Parts: sequence; C-alpha cells; structure tokens
Amino acid sequence: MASNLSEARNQDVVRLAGSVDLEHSPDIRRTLLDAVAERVDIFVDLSEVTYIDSSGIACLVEALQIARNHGANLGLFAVSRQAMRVLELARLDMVFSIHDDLASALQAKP
Amino acid sequence: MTAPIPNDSSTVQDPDSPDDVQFLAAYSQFFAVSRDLAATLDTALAGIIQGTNAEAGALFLLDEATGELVCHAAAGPLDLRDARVTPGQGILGRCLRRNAIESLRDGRDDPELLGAIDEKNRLIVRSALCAPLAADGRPFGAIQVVNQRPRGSFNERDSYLLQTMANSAALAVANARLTEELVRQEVTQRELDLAAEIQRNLLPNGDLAGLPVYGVNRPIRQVSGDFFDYFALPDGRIPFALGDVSGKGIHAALLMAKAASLFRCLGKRSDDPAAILAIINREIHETSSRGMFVTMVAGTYDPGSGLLRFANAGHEPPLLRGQDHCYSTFPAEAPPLGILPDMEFWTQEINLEGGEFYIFSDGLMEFHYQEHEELGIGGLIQMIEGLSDLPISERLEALLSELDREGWEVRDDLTVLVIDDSRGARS
Repeated sequence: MASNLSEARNQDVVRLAGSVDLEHSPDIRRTLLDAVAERVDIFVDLSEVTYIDSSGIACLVEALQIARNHGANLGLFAVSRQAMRVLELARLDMVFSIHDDLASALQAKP
Repeated sequence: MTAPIPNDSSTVQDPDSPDDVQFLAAYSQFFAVSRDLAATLDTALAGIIQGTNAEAGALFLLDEATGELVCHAAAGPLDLRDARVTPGQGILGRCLRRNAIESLRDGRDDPELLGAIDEKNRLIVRSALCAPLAADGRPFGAIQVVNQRPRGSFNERDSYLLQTMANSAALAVANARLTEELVRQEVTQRELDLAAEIQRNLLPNGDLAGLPVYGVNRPIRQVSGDFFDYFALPDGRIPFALGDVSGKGIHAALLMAKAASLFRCLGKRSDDPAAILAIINREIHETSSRGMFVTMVAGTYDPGSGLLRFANAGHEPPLLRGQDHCYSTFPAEAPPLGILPDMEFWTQEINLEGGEFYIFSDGLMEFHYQEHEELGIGGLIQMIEGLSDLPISERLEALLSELDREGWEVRDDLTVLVIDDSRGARS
C-alpha cells in the first residue's frame, strides 16, 4: 500500500505501509515512479511497513535509479524494525540514505 | 469441414415440423464438433440465411477493446466482412442491450441495418430480424438477417429459428474461442517447458559427481530466479556461486541466466571473488530494468587446503558448520548486484577445517509453517544436524523432502549449495 503524504517545493514524501511485496508492488511502483517523475528529492516513510520482499525493494531501487538520473535523490526514514532487518541484511543501507525521521532526513538533504 | 446443410428449408413451414427439428439438430451437431472459429461463423450464417429464407445476413462480434461490432461473416449481395458498427439506438444496439431478438417490418431509416451499413451498395431493406449471440447471459455479438424472400416479412417461425440457431452458434463461438485460448496456453506452456529445460542446463549437471560440492534448485514457478554453479579448475580448485534475482517468474529467470553466464565466464578467469562480483555488478547495472537486482555469494574452494575465499553481495549469510558442530554465519559486506554501478566488494577468507559451508536463497529462510512461523536459521541448523550423516549428494534432497513432509509451505524459489570439507585428507 502506498500514498503520497505531502508535497513541498523540491521535495516529496511518500508513505508505504503494510506488505511491500510482489502482490502490491505494481501499485507501489506506480506511486514511487509518479513521485520521482517530478524530478524532486523523495523521502519514503517506511514506519508502517510490516513486510518487505525483493519485489518491494526493487520498486525502491528503480525509483532511486531514476531519481539519481534526474540529479535528485531518494532517501528512507522512520524505517520499521521489520524493514530495517531486511535492508541491513542485504546491506542496502549502503545504497539508500536512511534517516530516523522526516526532520533529520530534510536536514541531511540526501 | 463442410456445413451439413440439410433439406431445402423453403419447404419448412411450421416451427414444430420435423424438418425444422432435423435442420436444427444437424446444425447443433456441427457446432458441437467445430473448433475453427472462422468456419463456425460462416457455417452458422449460411445455415441461418437458408433456414429463414433471407436475402442477406451478417454476423457481428463485439470488439471488447473498442466497443464496436465487427462483421465476421456476411451472406447475400453485400460484402460487409470487417465492417464496424458502433451499437447505438438502431436494431443492433437494441438487440444487445435487451439481449433479445429484435424485428423490423420497415427498417429503411435504421442506421444499423445491413442496407445502411454498406454505403456503396445500398440494399433496400423491407424487413429485418436481429438475434443476440450471448454466453452466460452476456451478449457478445449479433446475427442480423434482412428481406424474407417469399413473403416479404419474417414471421414467428423465422424468429424462433433464428434465435435457436443463434443460441447454438453462440455456444459454438464460445467453444471455439475457448479452444483458441487453450491452444495459445499450450504454446506458452511448451515455451515455458523449453525455457525451464534450458535453465536447468545452466546449472551444474551430473558429471560433477565426486566433487565435494552439491547444489539443489527448486523453482516456485516453472522457471527460477535463483541459480547456483560450481565447476572444477585444472588445479583442483572449485569456483562456486549461488544467486537470487529479485522477484519471481520469467523476468527473474532471464536475469538469472545473465548473472549465471557472467559468473561461469568470469569464474574461469579470475580467482578474486570480489573482483568478479564488481564486474557482474557493473554488467547487470548497465542493462538493468525495473530496479531488479541479484544477491550473490561467489567464491573459490580449494579441497586440497580447505581454504575458502568468497564475497557476499547482499545475500543471506552463508552458514558454516564446524567439525565441532559449532555454527557461524557470514553476513554480506556489500549490497546486491545491479543497483549502483561503482560498488566495492570484499573477499573473505576462511578455512573450512573439515566443516561444511551452506549457501542458500532466502526462500529457505522464508519457508512458512502453519501460516506465520518461518523456518529461520535455528530451524535450518536443527534440520542440518539431523541429516549430517548422509552423503553430500543425498543431504540436500533429504532436506527438501523433510520440509515437504513436515508441512512447511514454500513461497519462493529455493536453492541450497553445500561445500563439504569433511573428506579433507589433511587431518
């Protein structure tokens, strides 16, 4: 499940919740790609994510790659324990900038 | 197949007459065995024209994409084949909306009559009948006939005959479509079978028996997004790899083939696992699509010394079972392959010292039991302990059988590779 939470100038926040998996990845992918199409920095809120699989991560990776091609970035914040376990195990913390909350994400400017 | 046109129906006058019944029975029989859609439609229309003594007729099927009716068969002086009509307020539109037969005694103004549809060769229509073709109560086409020749107008018997034949024809069309769909599915299935066979051939084959390495791969779908590989170099060392492509199904299988081929090629040329992963990472990133990536452990094992050198790109930590039955894991030190172009990878070096090194896809960890519980590393260790007396070639198969027997539910491709140093002649 995914929803655009707010839209500020040059920044957009996307919230993902529940199962970020193969079943939901088409919707999640659309939401993320719509967000990065605006060519702004994207911050993805993963606080409500209960499960994430490789299809879900691929959606984040694709959005990150597109954002970088635009000269923008995609960062993650408030990552749930379940999602963080997967991200750390696969060393995706070396790929995404990960922040405790939106305030620190905005401050860090990905 | 030729149409079983029965007796000349001009002699038929009564809907209950034995000739009508015979006529309908013959057509029903033809429709029941016909599997060719075009032939079915032509035969249906020819029979209807003959049965109702109409001057012209046309059979339309709904084009789901555009909502238009497309003429698939035509009989009489007009060649309406491929003509398109948007069903509206005319006879075709009404027939579809009501899913019932429609008749006109004088339809010269109707824009959806055969005579009006053909702009060039107008046919003066004095009377018309239009019956829906429907399956499960949902109309997907219509048959229209115009100008009853002997009488000038259609009667109840013609309506009855048209509707009955349209019903049989609709069934035949639905059957023929189902058959076409089945044929398409069979073709797809054959192609998938072939792809699966080619993919299996990408994995190590039987002539490696005797090596102290063994792997199993079980796709959750027909083709796998996982792979493993190992082969012996002339100096006795054994390059090995196990990879897991994000996602499942054919798109994962295609990337799996690329990653496996790259490893097969590079593993013969370089003894530096980190360098191999760095090259595969760049190659996959260059042609990446949809954010797909590959987690992989790749390395080289030297059976002579027990030395194992490997690198882990975002993959589930391999598990070492020491000779003393102590276990240790080796988490990834770099992210998966294909995400960012310039990533650094690290080679780890350990000596197996008579132990066993297990590499597995996350499908194994995510084995579910009764909906919620995952097998996890603890469950895996328990199973390995129970099977460690078996020869290497049987151990992994036994692991999979045990999981099957215990009622665990697999949700992902499942791949396990074991390197067994216990036969090492060094101790």
